[in-house]
Order: sequence, then C-alpha cells, then structure tokens
Amino acid sequence: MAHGHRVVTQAVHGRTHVDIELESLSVSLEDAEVVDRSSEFVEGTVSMKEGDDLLVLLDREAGVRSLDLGAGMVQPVLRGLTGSRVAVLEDGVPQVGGRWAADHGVLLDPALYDGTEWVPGGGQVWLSPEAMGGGLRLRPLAMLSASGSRTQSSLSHRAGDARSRFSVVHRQRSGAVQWHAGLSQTRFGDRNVPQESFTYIGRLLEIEEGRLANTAGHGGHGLLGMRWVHPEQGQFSVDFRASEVLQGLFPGIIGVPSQSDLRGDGDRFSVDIPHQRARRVQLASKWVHPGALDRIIRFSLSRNERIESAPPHAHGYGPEPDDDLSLALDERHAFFESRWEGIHGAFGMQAEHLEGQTSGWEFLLPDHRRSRWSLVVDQRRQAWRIGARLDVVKVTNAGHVEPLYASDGSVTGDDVRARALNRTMFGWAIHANRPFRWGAAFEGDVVATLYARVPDSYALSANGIHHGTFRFEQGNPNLNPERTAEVRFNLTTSRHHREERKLNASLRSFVALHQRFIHLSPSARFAPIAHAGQVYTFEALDAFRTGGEFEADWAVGGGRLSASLALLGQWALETGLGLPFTAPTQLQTGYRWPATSRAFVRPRFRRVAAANLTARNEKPTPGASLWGVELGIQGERMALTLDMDNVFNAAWLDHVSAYRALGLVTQGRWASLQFTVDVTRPDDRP
Amino acid sequence: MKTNMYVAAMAATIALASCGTTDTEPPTICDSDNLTGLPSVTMDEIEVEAGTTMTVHDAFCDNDGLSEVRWDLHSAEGHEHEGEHEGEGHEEGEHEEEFVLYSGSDFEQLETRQLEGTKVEASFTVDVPLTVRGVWDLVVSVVDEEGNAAGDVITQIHIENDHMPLFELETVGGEDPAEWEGEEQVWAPGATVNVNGTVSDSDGVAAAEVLLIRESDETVVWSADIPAAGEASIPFSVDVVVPADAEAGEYHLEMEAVDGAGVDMHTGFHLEVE
Repeated sequence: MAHGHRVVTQAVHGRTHVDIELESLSVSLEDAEVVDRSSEFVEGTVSMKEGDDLLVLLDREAGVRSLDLGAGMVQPVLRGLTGSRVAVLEDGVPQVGGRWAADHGVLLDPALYDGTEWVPGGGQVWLSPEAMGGGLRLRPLAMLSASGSRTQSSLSHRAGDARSRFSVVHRQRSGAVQWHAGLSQTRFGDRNVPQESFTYIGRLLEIEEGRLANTAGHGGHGLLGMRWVHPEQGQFSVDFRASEVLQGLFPGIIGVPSQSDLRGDGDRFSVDIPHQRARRVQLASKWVHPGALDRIIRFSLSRNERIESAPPHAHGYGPEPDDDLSLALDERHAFFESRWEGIHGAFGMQAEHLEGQTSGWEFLLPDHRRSRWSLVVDQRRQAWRIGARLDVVKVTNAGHVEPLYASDGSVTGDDVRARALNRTMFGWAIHANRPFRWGAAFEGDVVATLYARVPDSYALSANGIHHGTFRFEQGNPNLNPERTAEVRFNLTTSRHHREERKLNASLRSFVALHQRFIHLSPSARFAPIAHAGQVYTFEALDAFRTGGEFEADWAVGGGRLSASLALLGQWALETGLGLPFTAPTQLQTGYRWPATSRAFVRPRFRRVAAANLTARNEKPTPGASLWGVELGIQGERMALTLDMDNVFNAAWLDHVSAYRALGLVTQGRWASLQFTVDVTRPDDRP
Repeated sequence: MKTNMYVAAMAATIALASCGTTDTEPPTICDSDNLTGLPSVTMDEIEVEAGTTMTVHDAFCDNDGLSEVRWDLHSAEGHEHEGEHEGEGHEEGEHEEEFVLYSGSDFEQLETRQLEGTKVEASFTVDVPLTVRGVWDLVVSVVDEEGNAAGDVITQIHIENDHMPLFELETVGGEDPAEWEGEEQVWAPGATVNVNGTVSDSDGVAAAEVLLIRESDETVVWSADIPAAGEASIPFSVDVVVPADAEAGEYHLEMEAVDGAGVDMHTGFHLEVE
C-alpha cells in the first residue's frame, strides 16, 4: 500500500481481460507535528521575548529578574536564585567569570545570538550541575537554510541614561560553509534616579542632579564564527567571542563616600575609579556527527578577567596601598562534552576545569581551582524521560596570610585570611519527566528531580569585604554539597493553532525542599575592619521554596491583551524567615493594539508587590506601580520602536537589586528609540 | 500525574509544618543601673578637650542574649548621619551641615567587644590626641547571638583644642561660611577669592600660611604667607588667586600655622575648581 492510493481487491475469476480504473486519492495532514526528541531539548524551556538589552529582556519575563549594578553589569535571577546557582550557557557551554558574585554581570549581548531562553528549575542533567535555579540558554547563530546572506542590525538611543547601542550580525553562506561575524557597542551615562538622598552605614548623603555619580560605562562584544555541514560528516561549528565592559561603580559601592564624591565631574559619560573592567575571550566549537548513534562533541576554552579599581584605602591599621588595583580575578576555563545520542536517549560525559587567580590589595578570595567530571545518562521510555548524572568535583584553593597591624602601624602578627583547601566532593542528579495531554486544549509535563550540588569556591573560601554587596563575607571550608528534592508542574494550552487561538495560557509551578541550602546570613559578629558592618557567613540551612508563573494572552477588540503573574516564596526552615532577596509577587499586563497593519501601540502596567518575606536584618521593600508604553512600526525588513518605561518617574526600590541595600531606587523614567533592519539575500534571487 | 501532585502537596505541607521560629528582636541601648556620671551615646553631643581621655558609658539589652558591641569613632567631615540634628529644630528631610574647620581628620578608633547576657554595661575609652579639632561621630552598633543588629546609635563628639593655633573665618568671597549649609565651594580658574578671618594662639602665632592644593597630586598651585610675629591673635585678609590655567577638579584650601611653642596645625576646606 502506498500513501495517496486506496487498496481495492478485484476478483478475476479466470477472465483474460480486466479493466481497472485508477483514481487518485487526496489525503491532507492537518496536524503534522515535529517534536524535538534530541537530548538538547529541555522540557519546560521558555523562549524569552526580545529586548533592547539584557536588563530589559530579563525584567519583562515572568519568573525572571535582573540584578544589576549598572547597565554593563547584569545578572539573571531565576525564581529567586542567582549567581552560580543559575547556569548561563552558550550552546550548552557553561559560562564562568566570577559568576558567584551578584555584582559580576554576565559578559554577553543577546543581539549576537539567535534568541534567548530560560529553563526553570534544577536537576537538569545536561545543564551545568550549578543550575539550581535553572539556566539561561543562548542559542548560537544558526546556519542559513540556503546559500546567501543575512544581515541584522540595530541602532538605538535611550533618553534617561543617554545609552546608545549599535549591533550588527552578518551571515554569509556559500554551499556547505557559512561564515558569520557580529559586533555590538554600547555606551551609557550616569543612571538617572528620582531620588534626592540615601543612607549608607548610617551616613545620610545627597544625590545631586538626579543621577548616580560614576555609574556610566561602555561595553563591546564581538563574534567571529563558521559553520560547515556535510551529509555524512555532520555539522561542525566554531565561534570566537570577545567582550569587554567598563562599568563605573557608584562611590558607595567601595568604601564610604563623602558628599563631594557624589557630585560627579559634570560629564555624565566619564568613568572614574571605582570602576570594574571585565573581559572575556572564548573559543567554542561543536561537532555533530551522524551515525548509528549521533555523536555530539563540544569544546570550549575561555579566559575571563575582572578588574576592580578603587581609591587606595586600608581597612585596618595597615599602610595605604600605592595603586588602585583593588581586586583582580583572572579565570581560565576549559569545557569538554561528548555525547552519544540515539532514538531512545543519550549518554555522555562532561569535564571542565577552572583556574582562578586573584590579586589586588582588597583580599576577598584566594587562588582557586575547580575540576569536574560528570557522567550523564538520559533515556526515553515510552512517554517518560529519565536522566541521571554523577559529578566528581575537586576543589582546591591556596592559603592566604596578610600582616596584622597594630594601631601604631607596627606588625603584630599574621592575619590568616584563607587556609589551603583540597577537597573532592560528589554531586549527582536524578531527573524524571512525564509529558501529558489534558484533552485537546491543554498539554504539559510533570518533573520530579533529586540532586546534589557541590558548593562553589566562593562559598568555601571567601573572607573579606565584597564591594559589590557592601558586606564582609566569609566562606566556610567545611560546607558539604546541598541536596534538593524538587517537583515541577507545567500546563499550557496545546501548541496546535496557538497563533489563531483566542486565548492562550500557561502555568508553571514548582516546589523544592533543600537540605543544607547554602546562603549568606548575618552572623553575631562585627567585621574586624571599619566600614564593613556585620560579618556575613555562608551557612547551610534547610530551606523550602515554592512558586510559579502564570501567563495568558487573549484576543480582545482586534488586539491582544497579555498578563503574567510571578509568585515566589522562600523560607529558611530552621528560622522560619525568608531567604535573602526573595523577589516579591509581580503582575505584568499589556495590551497590543494594531493601529494599522504595520503599526501598533502597547501600553503596559507592572505592579510589584511589597516584599515582606525577608531574611534576618533585611528590610521590607514597599510595592510599586509602573507604567510603560511601546509604539512600533513594522516593515518587511525594518522596524522602528519607541519604548518608554516608568512613565511617571516613580521612585521605587527593587527588592532584588543590590542597590536596594543602600536604599537607592531603581532607574527612573527612560525612553528608547530603536531602529532594526533584517535583510536576507538568497544567492539564487532573480 | 495525580501521584506527583500528591507528593508535591505532601512535601510542601511537611516543609511548612517543620518551619522553625527564631528571635528577630534586635538588641537595644537601655537604661544604665550604674550612675557613673559618664556621658552616653544617647546624648545629642559630647564635648571633650583634645589631650584628655574620653569615656562613654552605656547599657545594652537583648531579650535572648547579646553578642558584640562596636564603637566606631571617626571624623564627621564630608558626610552626615541619618537622624543627626533631630530635635534641633530641623524639619524632617532638611539636613544642614554646620561649617567646621577640621584638624587631624584621620584620627579614628574602632573597638569591638564581646558581650554576654541579656544586659551588659560597657564603657568606651579613647585618648583624644592634641592634634585634632572639630566634630567627630561616635557610632555604636550592637548585635545579639542570633545576628539581629540594632540600628546604629550616633552621637557627635565636639573636640575643642587650646593646644594648637586656631583659624576662624569671617568671610570667604564676601560670604559667611556659616551660611554655606554644606554646599561645596566652586571657584573658577583665574578667580580671586578674598578670605577674611583671624588666626590665634595663647602662645602667640609664629608663622601662618594659606595654600591652594590640588588634591589629585597634592600640588600647591598658589600660596601666601600671613605676616606673623608672635601675636596672640592676627586678623588677616588674603586674596586667593586661582591660577587661570588651573585644572578643573578637587582642591583644598589649606591653612597652616605654627605657635610660639613650635606646635603646628593644618586645617582648611574642600572646594572644586571648574
């Protein structure tokens, strides 16, 4: 039997001649669904909306927030977790670069990728074992479907902090080979804030001209890459990426500012010390080789540098340093993954090594190394997907001793800031996923996972003033891997006809029980040095986290009304208090009204609830209502967008922001005008 | 699916049921039982003489148990504390800085002491050097055994000094500095600013000088002597000339004097050239 024809049996009964009339049969497939069964696919992955920059991209996604110390230093916060608990992956390669610190932004520009998505929750076997909160995945530039070229470019200016951005990505495919290159540049001025004064360690200071002095900066990102495809050899890709960001640091971040420090120098774009300069160079390659079992090999080498420069100062009675190198962090990282994949699943191994060196007069963390070897199995059995990973992690760090000074400047002994450490620990994850359909209208999946995460080098060996968090932070070398049992439930309207449906909705939720959840807590001791408040120590306490996101959009009056709600609760079980920086409930709504076939207006509203679930000594944060509006004109190859945020210039504290600890409000009103061009030219065009 | 939901609901119930409680009440500064007659950090201000020993005595209380107290004494120059001047006739949100000529601003003292029990009385003692004059902040912080921290309590220490020469300014650029209310002085390159005041010392003033110093590299860009021949009080009127080619930036108007006993002093104020 062949598709397209009906089978008919005709009895011949000894006749010598039979006429048979063939009639073609038309068959239409209404629902042809291609399901990605690759192990690269992670259930529950959420594609993120496009944003003019990383900060906007993160803040407009339910369940995701940003933590920033300026436009150049942005960290993702996924369901209340951040830092090294969130994996940032470029085509499956975990990114490093001082990820343990909330003030160390990720060095990337979403414009140089083919999209961004986030994976909620931990225990994902192929993601980095660090990913307790989930992962932010950046899709690499894909190959063009045929020979030709594609150029995407964007130019924008934002009034408020006078930020200007430019990006261009060009792909050129000729037969089996594609070359591509990308570049983006950003420059921004001091951040505008609707605030007149703030308090730091009891000192009341005025903010002048409505700007946070010395929060200007600039950043640049570059990409050069190649793709080669062969029907038998598979696809080989290599990308070289380089980034550099200079971010001025508000004087309150390092030391106690005087009022004169906050006046700035009249040039909103100038960057003075203190500032942070971060660089990344990375060479990453991937080879997908087809066979009885497809083979996927990933390899990456990278170097991340982070240099904090600050006015020389001594916290104790020691001599004042004679240079402005406060803290330098130099990390070299190698990653390798080999994966074999069949129709019933995949298995493989991952290995990575991090070599971190620190220098400068502000000791925070000693030289450290971290090596990981992981074995991963990921199987599909009927509707189930079951995975497991075993990690062996070797963590070492050097000891560090400084002279101890008396008040007269004489050396009276040794100040042991870090003891040498050499530990091997085990991490693991078991992950079970079961997709389901609920009638014709809904589908979803349930995930149950158990996993253990080895503490990062910072939690084990930090001991000093951490400028980015304004605290004296102290690690604990005796910490053991933290364990988690987590259940996630996702429900969404069926993928079929989603575009035409009047109402689309999705619900994502999770419940997680953490044993020995490692987090910073205020101790009963003051820092041994001035201007540092209490010592914050890494403690391992059992914790419970739950929450979720609900999103819906429906057709109303020719346009689409969208709404999202993000809820999060995090408690330390021993004390009953909240975990630090627990994001409050957030509601976002917007109505996209098509003024013409090519133009739209989208007013939006964001309500951030008061943050009352707080950790010890953490102050509650009042709620805020924020309005915004977006106007767009969409052509075939270009788009022009005007986006205005915080229209009424509301002064509001972002509970997730590090600046909130200083009582500094979030950026005030800004308006961004963006022009984008996307031109594709096939080689066989007439 | 139902099974998974039951497991999740059960885990949540168990987790919340096992939630503990903790003491979240911060420690306080409470009434002292001992009538020491010594000043307390709860006073608005404390006056001391340079060259003497200052002792501040307070009682600290906590419902569960105290852990540490920290005294942080530092110059008040260049900043103001939250809550200062409250009850001094200022409206809420209004912050006026009085004009003070500081000497020896790098004098500071930090002391942390362990405490045990629910009520402890403790004293902070410091030798005030002969080289300082002006207003200092004494910030007292207390933390209990659970890590609950009380809000800082701050008092101002007014340090008088009869040991070294004293500068007093009547007008700067024709304006009484007391009227500046914390505003930074901004002078233009090429400007001439008249500084009018007196320098005095009970041992007589042997030498006095006014200098304009660029803070970025400590370069003296202008200076002038005040004629002195051992008088106890010397009125002066100096025209400070900002060089026409002065770089824009932070500067310090430095005033220096030496008395008849050879005791020298440095004071002045910060300004900006632009």
